[in-house]
Amino acid sequence: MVNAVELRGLTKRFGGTPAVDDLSLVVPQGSFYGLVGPNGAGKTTTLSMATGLLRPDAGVALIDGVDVWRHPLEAKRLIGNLADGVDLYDRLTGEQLITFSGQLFGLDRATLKERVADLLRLLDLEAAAGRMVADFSAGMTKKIALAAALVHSPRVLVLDEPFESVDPVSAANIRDILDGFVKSGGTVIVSSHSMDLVQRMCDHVAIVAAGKVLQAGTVDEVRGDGDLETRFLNLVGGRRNGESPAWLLRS
Amino acid sequence: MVAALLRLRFRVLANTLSRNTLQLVAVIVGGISTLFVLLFILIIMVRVSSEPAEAIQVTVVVGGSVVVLGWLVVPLMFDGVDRTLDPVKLARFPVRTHQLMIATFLVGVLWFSGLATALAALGTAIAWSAHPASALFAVVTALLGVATCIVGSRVTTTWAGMLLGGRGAVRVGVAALIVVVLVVPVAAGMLRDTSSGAGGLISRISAVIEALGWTPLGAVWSIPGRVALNDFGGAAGALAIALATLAVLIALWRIALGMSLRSRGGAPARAPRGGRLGLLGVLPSTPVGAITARALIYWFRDARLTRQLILIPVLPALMLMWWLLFDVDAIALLIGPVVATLLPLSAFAGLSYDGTAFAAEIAAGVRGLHDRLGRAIALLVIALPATVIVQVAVAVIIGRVHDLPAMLGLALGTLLVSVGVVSVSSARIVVPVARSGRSPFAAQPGSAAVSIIGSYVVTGATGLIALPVTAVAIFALVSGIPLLGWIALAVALVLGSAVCLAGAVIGGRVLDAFGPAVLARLRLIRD
Repeated sequence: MVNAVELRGLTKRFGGTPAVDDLSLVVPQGSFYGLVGPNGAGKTTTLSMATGLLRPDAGVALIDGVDVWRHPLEAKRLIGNLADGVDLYDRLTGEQLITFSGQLFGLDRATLKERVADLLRLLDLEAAAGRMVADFSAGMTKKIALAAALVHSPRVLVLDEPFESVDPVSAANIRDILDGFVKSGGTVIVSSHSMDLVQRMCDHVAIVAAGKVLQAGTVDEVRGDGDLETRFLNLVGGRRNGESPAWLLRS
Repeated sequence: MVAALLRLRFRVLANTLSRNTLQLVAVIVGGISTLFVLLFILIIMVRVSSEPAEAIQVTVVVGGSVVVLGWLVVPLMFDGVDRTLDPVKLARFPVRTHQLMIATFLVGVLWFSGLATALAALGTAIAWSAHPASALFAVVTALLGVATCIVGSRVTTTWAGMLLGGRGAVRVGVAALIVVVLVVPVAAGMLRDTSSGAGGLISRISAVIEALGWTPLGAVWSIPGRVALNDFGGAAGALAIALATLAVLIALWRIALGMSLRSRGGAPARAPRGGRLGLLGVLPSTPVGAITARALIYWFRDARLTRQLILIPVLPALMLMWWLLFDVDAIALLIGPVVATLLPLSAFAGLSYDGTAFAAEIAAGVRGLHDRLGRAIALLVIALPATVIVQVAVAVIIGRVHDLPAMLGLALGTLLVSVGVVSVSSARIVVPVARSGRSPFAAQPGSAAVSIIGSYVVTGATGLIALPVTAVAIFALVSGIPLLGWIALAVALVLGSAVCLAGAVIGGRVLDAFGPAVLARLRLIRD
């Protein structure tokens, strides 16, 4: 079976310093894959290159065996992409934004109408459907971006920080959607800072730091006897022992 | 605190420029061209100093008024003003309003345009060097004039930004339109009445100049001349007007700053029901349809773009006033091409306004051609009817209805060609612009130079490609042969449509090749 995502030797330099350094990663079909790493590890850059948003200096990205940079139009139909660090067309209403995204993929009006209604309901956004995205809170903005990524029914979901500032109820609803997606054969990659969440939610995980994969595999393989957070801190390092500035409320 | 704010502004500037070479180049180019303009002005000042006092007075008052008007209007049209010291950003620090005003004022002075204006204003002392008392007065009035310029630019941008920044952008546009429609004909009629008695072009102009010396724009510059002409009462009166102008401007600025420091976040949003897709529900459910609809919605909902729409009725009205004043048909005949190229030129780096939201199109794998077509259609949907309406109105007003085919040819030819040219330029060029939802008049350093150079290049290319159309149209207008007018219109439509389509195809190829690179640059600008 073809791997859902296969990255071979991806490299990207900004100026002189490599943000992503000869990174390779295999995401099997039907897996729920977590990508964890400290700030500045290169997660967003990697996912941008894998989804056709940022041209790599070297390396190959395959989605379902389709080369993202040789056949971008075919590959991008397979991907549902929630990118981090990009704005939305926030002068559209929530409903308009999802519709716009669907139309970019050429969905017809009847299909779109049904899907937009479903997505608004599942992501608790019905009340905000007619409001301009510029007026949304951070969490609602995340949810509407997720809806826009789902609307064309992709095979592989690439979600950069999907749970950031999302409230617990919506986060649980999003997890239900993603679990259902994986059960019916789809593949999900999420990047996250929350080790607990990744350990509970994902079946595979890769720990990334300084533009390289430090360790990858099933969650059980990676965490070994302990939990994921301990393993992560051991691998990445950089823990300080309970330090806090002396002047911060010690009176 | 003022010193700290100034240090902050120049630290931010240095950091921005060291990160971004293109912007640095633009700043340098801007600085050099400012220097040339300054030299030119100073040479005029030296030259005019040996003329009679009346001639010096006319030069200084007209020049000074143009400079003040420029400071009030140009930031609204082009680049805006620097917003490093944005009151909203500084709201959580203990900064007093008057400290912020002093710092912002100094920032305005300590930049190319501010320094050049100050030096040019002091140059009026050179112009009056033959009249020592006036030269002394000129030094003082120069400082007053510069203060008026800089405070004035802050007032217009802050107020316009507040009005447009709200969701009422369209309402403001309509209001501007109504003002223009009501006020301009009345004002023009009055001008005609007062001047027709005096007769002749020269006397009409000198009457206008005489009046200019009493307006808030010109009063401050007229003071040294009034002293030189021994009109001391007039000098005192003009000084009073100048001081009052500055006082009113400072008060208006203070009010606006106070309001923006108090209002954090937008007005509470209403929560309208869903089910209203607007244009997205009307146009075909395809990439081209979606991009067209999105672009059209943005023209009316994004304050940065809406301000361009407002110019469509305002600019022809102003030019018609000029035409009435000077009675030269060429001015009126220029209105068509100017209105036609207004919107396309403002979109010469159109992707800049999308910002990183453009990632949605890259992620969806939209073909470059579809993107170009969508945006070109959106431009034409607004600009085509606007151009036709304006051109017909102008033909009727100036009484050259028989020349309508040639005039339409001229305007539609430049419109279609400029849309084609912009389809190519905007596929590759992005410039720093204010982010969506920020003040539409917040500028980045160097963006003025980039956008001015960019629009020169695009205008030049448009002019060059549209040459066959303009040549035939001008020949038709000069000779008055009806057949030539129709030929001009035909050439305009055929050549224009061809250039328009070719632009979409070429621009589409460029976008296919460079889309991700453009997105990477947009990300860089955003941070």
